[in-house]
Amino acid sequence: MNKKNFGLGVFVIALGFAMFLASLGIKDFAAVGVGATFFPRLASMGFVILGALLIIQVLRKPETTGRETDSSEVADTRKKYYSIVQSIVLIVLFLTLLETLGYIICSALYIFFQILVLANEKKKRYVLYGIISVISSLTTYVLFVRVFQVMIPRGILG
Amino acid sequence: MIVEGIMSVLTVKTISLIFGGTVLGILFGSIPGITVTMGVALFLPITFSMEPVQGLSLLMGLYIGGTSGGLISAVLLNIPGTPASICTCFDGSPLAQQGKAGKALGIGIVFSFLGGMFSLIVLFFVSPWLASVALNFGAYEYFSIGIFSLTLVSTMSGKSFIKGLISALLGFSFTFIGMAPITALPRFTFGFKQLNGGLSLLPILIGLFAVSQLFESSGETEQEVKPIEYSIKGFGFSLKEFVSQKWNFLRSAVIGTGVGILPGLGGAICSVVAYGVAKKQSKYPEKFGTGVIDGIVASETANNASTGGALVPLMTLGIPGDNTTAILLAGFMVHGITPGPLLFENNGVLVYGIFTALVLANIFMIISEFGGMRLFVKVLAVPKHILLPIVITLCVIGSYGLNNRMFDVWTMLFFGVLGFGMKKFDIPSTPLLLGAILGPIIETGLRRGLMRSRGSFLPFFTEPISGAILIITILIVLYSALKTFRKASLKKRVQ
Repeated sequence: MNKKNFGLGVFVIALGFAMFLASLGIKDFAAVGVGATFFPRLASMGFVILGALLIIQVLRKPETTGRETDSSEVADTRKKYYSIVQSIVLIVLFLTLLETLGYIICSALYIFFQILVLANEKKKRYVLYGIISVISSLTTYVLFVRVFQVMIPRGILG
Repeated sequence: MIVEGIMSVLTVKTISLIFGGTVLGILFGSIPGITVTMGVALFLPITFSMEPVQGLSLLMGLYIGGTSGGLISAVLLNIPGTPASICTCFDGSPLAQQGKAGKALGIGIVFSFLGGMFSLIVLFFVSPWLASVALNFGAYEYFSIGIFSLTLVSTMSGKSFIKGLISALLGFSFTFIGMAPITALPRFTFGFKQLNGGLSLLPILIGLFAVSQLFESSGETEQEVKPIEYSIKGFGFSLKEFVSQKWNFLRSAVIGTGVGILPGLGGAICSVVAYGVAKKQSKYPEKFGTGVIDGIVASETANNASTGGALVPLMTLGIPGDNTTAILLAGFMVHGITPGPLLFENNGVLVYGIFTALVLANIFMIISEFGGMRLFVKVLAVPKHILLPIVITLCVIGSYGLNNRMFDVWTMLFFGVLGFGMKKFDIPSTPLLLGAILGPIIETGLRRGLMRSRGSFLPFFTEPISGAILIITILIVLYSALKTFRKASLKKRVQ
């Protein structure tokens, strides 16, 4: 059984119910026609139906013999997810510190560490990455703030 | 007005913006992993401080260049630079491996140009007419077109109709957050003041299509990028070959423009359909995939023809023709311009300015691709693990620059993670995007329509245009449902 799709179906149904419950809190007045709760309720019903259809689809599929995943594959997937989590953490840190430390510092640090996370198998050329981080951070800042006049947090660099 | 429009673009600054945009677009389009959608989204914030005609001209350059640029990596790396060039790989890469990369590139570039120009002619003549028809559109029609587009996209993106619908519904649901249309009372804000205005479209776009790319690449071992050697003499192919393709070209251009006009369907689907039709109608279908120029002509003509086509619904109705035009929609809105039938009435000069910019972009595209091919190939070799983090910082700037609040950047991250998660579950993202854009249109259309009809749903079906569109929509749903069931029961029978 396709566990992924089954789980997805369950999640979608749950989402539908959750949305319906949340829609009970919507204040509304509708003189004519439908009110502000109409579409949210319709959508929640839609989710429940679609989730159910998905589950039915999964259950109707004949059993396929799953192949054995060997240990190296498991390790690979684990490494992949570890990298993804690292990337998410890096971005979260970047965003959290952005207004305090300012764009230039944060983005230079972020680029440096993110390159390291992405360059998992390769030789790590720390000096090169450091130079790229700093140059890129400064260039984009100057470009966007001076030339294109977009506002970016300056943080402690004033 | 037309002359005024053309003249408004012919300034040094604007022309250089178009040229720069086109070159950058080609770069973005050619680098696998960075799509034209991403490129346009990243440059949108840059246009904040520009005049509308300049900002939009830059974005058009990116759009045209990006759609074409995918062919470079398709031919030289067998990896499509953007989804619209997937079919170019099928015949472009084998040709390159046979030592005829120059021919493949030359054909791709020339027919991209011709396809683009064809669709621009259509755009030029069809859109004013369509705009005048659309002036009479009311709530009923907008509701129906919205539903039609959303349904169409859900059925055509990816293999599962159900997942497409889930994606569309999810996108729609995000638009519930904020003030309800018409009654203006808050929904789903859970007490968070920042949610009162709803979610901004741009961070959703950037997160869904750019940031999710980063997570895709994390943990993937990066392939060594080795573009194939090539040389181009002249255009790379002979006049005889060019003439032999005339029907293929015409047919693919019509398919590209036509499918592009359909709201929600863009370059990728156009090229797939055109390739399939070209193969079916060819005298030598078995040769497709081995390196026949017909395949490249079909794919590249269609995907560039879709650019003009996709702009038709965007400019006449305010409904985007595909992902990238969705960002162009944001581009219009950022400059305080609402595309739609009134655009031609109130901003006619801008409209013709944009048409001119598009023509210039196509011309610059063909010039720079032939002239600057060496440069583009060099850039292809820049490793993704360095490029992507820099792109992310640009994404952050873009999301922040819109409203100067961190909340938008966090929204971007949320949708980045969501987009990545959806990919893992094979849920397509385009329906979500269109659901988010069309949601307000559909909801407002229904509620206004009902107010007008005093609560009756009947006029939605009895008004001619609205009714026709709704019937077509129902037919599409039935057709797709039948297809899914037939596929499932076929599989069971085979077992």
